[in-house]
Amino acid sequence: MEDVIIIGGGVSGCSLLYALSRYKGNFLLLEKENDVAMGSTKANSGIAHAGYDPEPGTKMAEHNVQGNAWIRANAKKLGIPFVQTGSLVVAFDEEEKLTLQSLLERGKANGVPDLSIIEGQELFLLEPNLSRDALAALYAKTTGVVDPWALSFAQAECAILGGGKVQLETEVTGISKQDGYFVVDTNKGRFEAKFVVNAAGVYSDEISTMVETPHFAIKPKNGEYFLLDTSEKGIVGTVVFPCPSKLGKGVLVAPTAHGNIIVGPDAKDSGKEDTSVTAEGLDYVRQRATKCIPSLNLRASIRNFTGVRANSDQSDFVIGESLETAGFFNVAGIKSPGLTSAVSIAQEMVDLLFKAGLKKSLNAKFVRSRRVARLHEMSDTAKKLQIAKDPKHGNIVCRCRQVTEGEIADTFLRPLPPRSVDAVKRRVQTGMGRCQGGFCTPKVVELLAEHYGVDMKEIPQDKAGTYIVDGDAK
Amino acid sequence: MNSVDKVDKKYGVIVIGGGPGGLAAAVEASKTCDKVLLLERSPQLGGILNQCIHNGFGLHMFKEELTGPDYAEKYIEKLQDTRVVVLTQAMVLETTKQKQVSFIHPKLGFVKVQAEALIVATGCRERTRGAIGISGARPSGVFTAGAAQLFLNLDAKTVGKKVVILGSGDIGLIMARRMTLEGAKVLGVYEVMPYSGGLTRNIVQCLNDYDIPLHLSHTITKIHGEKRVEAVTISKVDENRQPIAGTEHTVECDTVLLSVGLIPENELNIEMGVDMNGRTNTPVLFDNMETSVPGVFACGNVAQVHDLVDFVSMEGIKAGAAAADYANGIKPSYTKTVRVEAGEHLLYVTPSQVRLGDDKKIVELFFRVSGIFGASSIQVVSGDTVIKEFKKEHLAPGELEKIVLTKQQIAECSSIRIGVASQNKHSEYQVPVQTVDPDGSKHFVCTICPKGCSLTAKVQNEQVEITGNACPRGDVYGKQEAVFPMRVVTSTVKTEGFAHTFCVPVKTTAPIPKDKVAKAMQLINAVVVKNPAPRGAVVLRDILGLGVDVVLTKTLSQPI
Repeated sequence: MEDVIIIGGGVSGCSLLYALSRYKGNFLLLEKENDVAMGSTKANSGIAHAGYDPEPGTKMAEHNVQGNAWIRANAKKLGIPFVQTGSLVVAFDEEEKLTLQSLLERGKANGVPDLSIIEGQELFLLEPNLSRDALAALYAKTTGVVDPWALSFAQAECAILGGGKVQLETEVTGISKQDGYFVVDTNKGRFEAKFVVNAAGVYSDEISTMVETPHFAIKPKNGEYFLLDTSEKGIVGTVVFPCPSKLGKGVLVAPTAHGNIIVGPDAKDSGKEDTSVTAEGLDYVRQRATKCIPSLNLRASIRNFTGVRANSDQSDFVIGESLETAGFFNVAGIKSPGLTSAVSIAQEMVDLLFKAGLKKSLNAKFVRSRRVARLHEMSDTAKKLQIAKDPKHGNIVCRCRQVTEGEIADTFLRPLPPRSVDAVKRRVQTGMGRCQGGFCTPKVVELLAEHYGVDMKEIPQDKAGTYIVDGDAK
Repeated sequence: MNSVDKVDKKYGVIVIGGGPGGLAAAVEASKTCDKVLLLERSPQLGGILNQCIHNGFGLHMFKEELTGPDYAEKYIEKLQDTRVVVLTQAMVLETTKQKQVSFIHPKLGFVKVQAEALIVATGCRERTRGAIGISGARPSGVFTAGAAQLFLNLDAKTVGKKVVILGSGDIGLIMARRMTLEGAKVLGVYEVMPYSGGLTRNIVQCLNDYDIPLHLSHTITKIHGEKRVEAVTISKVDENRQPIAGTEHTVECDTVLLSVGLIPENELNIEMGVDMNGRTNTPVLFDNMETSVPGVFACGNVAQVHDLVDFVSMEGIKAGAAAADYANGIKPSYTKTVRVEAGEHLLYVTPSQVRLGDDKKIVELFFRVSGIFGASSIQVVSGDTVIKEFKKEHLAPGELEKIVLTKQQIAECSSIRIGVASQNKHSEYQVPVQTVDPDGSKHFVCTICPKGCSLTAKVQNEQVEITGNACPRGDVYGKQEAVFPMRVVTSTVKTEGFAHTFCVPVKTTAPIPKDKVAKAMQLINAVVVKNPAPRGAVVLRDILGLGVDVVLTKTLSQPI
């Protein structure tokens, strides 16, 4: 019997597992895909928002501001690529300048530190490539860019080392409550738990319906992006937003935590799995982005992708215990700023579980941090030592991002070892550079096949079924 | 050639990249410089040649037709007679303007070395889906042609069964044949331009031989498939390369190969502050392959994308000789420089500057044109004066052009401009397909040279008469092709005695009848070669009684 079963291994589920692992108990996370961070967490802007956007008094406002502070304080010790870049919301006319004023006031009400409105010389010194049509901007120093995958893995890995469990490729098919505990049916058999937390992202409404009368519905909206080569580094130093509209925060231009430039997204109603890119969507993004940054070189694009946001028909996050079924909790409709908020939502969830009767006793085996050795971030001396320790660290597999065989080998030793080429990518950035895996994919497939002792045709690009090679040539 | 366990702190010349450009540069530099270091990031030398198992290389450098692995090995043999220090698995992380090179190596660790002169020979990479922005789902099964080639030719793995190829560059054409020979069905090659970017010979031998259609002015507008590619939407495009609404149709397939262009890997040059040509993303070069940073040279596909490896080697030789001179303190002696600019209908011209001195007799200029031209002339213009003209029967962007000027011709100029004067711009491009008249006459295109004469073969009383050829070679080709077409077969065979299964490349020692190729492939596919075996070792003798052997094109010597 588990104390808590978490359904869904996105950033919400992983954050909760980590937060719970601070305490004694049996905690199990069920994920239907072959890796964590496979839904909305996989494809988004990767921004740790400051918190001036949400309406004061909402859960979104509270968790955004606290989540941002948490990420700034903890990213380094968890080996999560994060850069506190600051952000600008840019106004192009007088009406938008008024919007900046209201965002500033909202931010202050939400408790966002270091907010100011800047204009003229100061603005263009900060972002020299910003359109000269810009009149003013809201400058939020606490905004940052974060690797959403690492934010998830880091917490999941630590949680597992501290005794938590993650079961992949396990899809929940039914939930029932009998004799005071939950029975969770899956394609991998039956699990039992005292509490169940639904963190199933775009599927959270379907999971909720298994237990309670529908009280929210997921209305997915997808958004398309360009990812530009690191050659474009420096075109912006901060996260540059236009003024927000009813559609959302608008098309941003930002550095990523890995030194690329990200441009997007648009926002369209979509299916739950609709991650296709469209000519229209990309045109819209191009048009909007170049309004802020006219010299943006979108020909340096190395990848287009689309992410699906788990928006709901509710104005705020849906967090809390079911009104009908005690012990069943939702963490649902986690739309933007969900990535930033997840770690703080997890704290609230832990408190709610304690209130509901989960036993509170500290876990002596709690693992609070992890170290990830990345050769290209090391000093010259550290590089020498690292390669001397293991020659695999002197063998580059991904040329564009300078990822070594040793770094890939390390991922096999950590909890949640990668099972696909993209799972390796999300952990160590192989194939994320300008050649997009053209040179390194065969080697990564080979390393995975070797590690698992299977033929190369068993190694998927990403989800199960996305095979790369289909057989032997001879 | 010395393989070493440690390196010195200083070298005269350091060459980055052990592909054909770097090999040639290192060999040449070592003739006058004692201390040459060659750094290669892969475990083996030869670069991309290792996976280019087809033939067509070496006619200029070795006066024989070789496969890629043959060519690489012959050049590595040259290197073995030199004192060049060679390090494989050495990945350069950083280079500075002061020519300090930082690299890592599994045995040597993190190393910094100082060069007097530096040669960047880092080749190029392929354009990807992200660079061209194809709409649709993002399933697996979309490969660059080179990545598929690596899987197939080096790892002996097939990447799919029903294949659509986007782009008619040579790698795409070569892979169309290669995948067909290995059992895949290639459904078509789609090219967004109104002409092919590949060589006529490759269209004939890689597409026509296997009835693979080439669709010009078409592109993929959407990819379908949740997990693996399931289909693509194909659209016709207008003269501005924009899809025409209403022309869409769907082709079911499980694999998409992209052969949509190459990008020179100039990241190290950019890092050193080398002046770049923004249009081609290649360094601005002097005629001795020197960049704007004194003592830093570039050669091969990083300097310009080549069609023929032979010309890569020739550039390497130029760069190697000049870098060795630089390292020896011999600065180029010149009295003036002449700027070279791309004029009408040129995509680019290189070098950008020619240094004229006493020792210089001729100047070679390389360029690509921006469209298809019929009979035309290449003009060298200074101010308003045409100082030299070169007549051409045919010009196409897919073919790297070279002209040679004498020192005297440009001695008085401060700058020259190269352009195309033609009345025949965008003369109708014809896909070179073979047609047969009711009387048995055959019409086909000569593949001996890029001009591509349209030949007609009439067979009467067992005599073949060829018309339409512009030269005697066309007559010989036409007679053979009309009656008894012959092809060299290149493929791979399985190996035995290694921890991993992989393949080694082979070829037939001479062309065999075209209609025997499929049968020959069956026999080749059954061969297993034992480790070790030298290049040239016969793996199948007298195949199909044709008097032709199948031999290894690469030495099999890796440790078990």
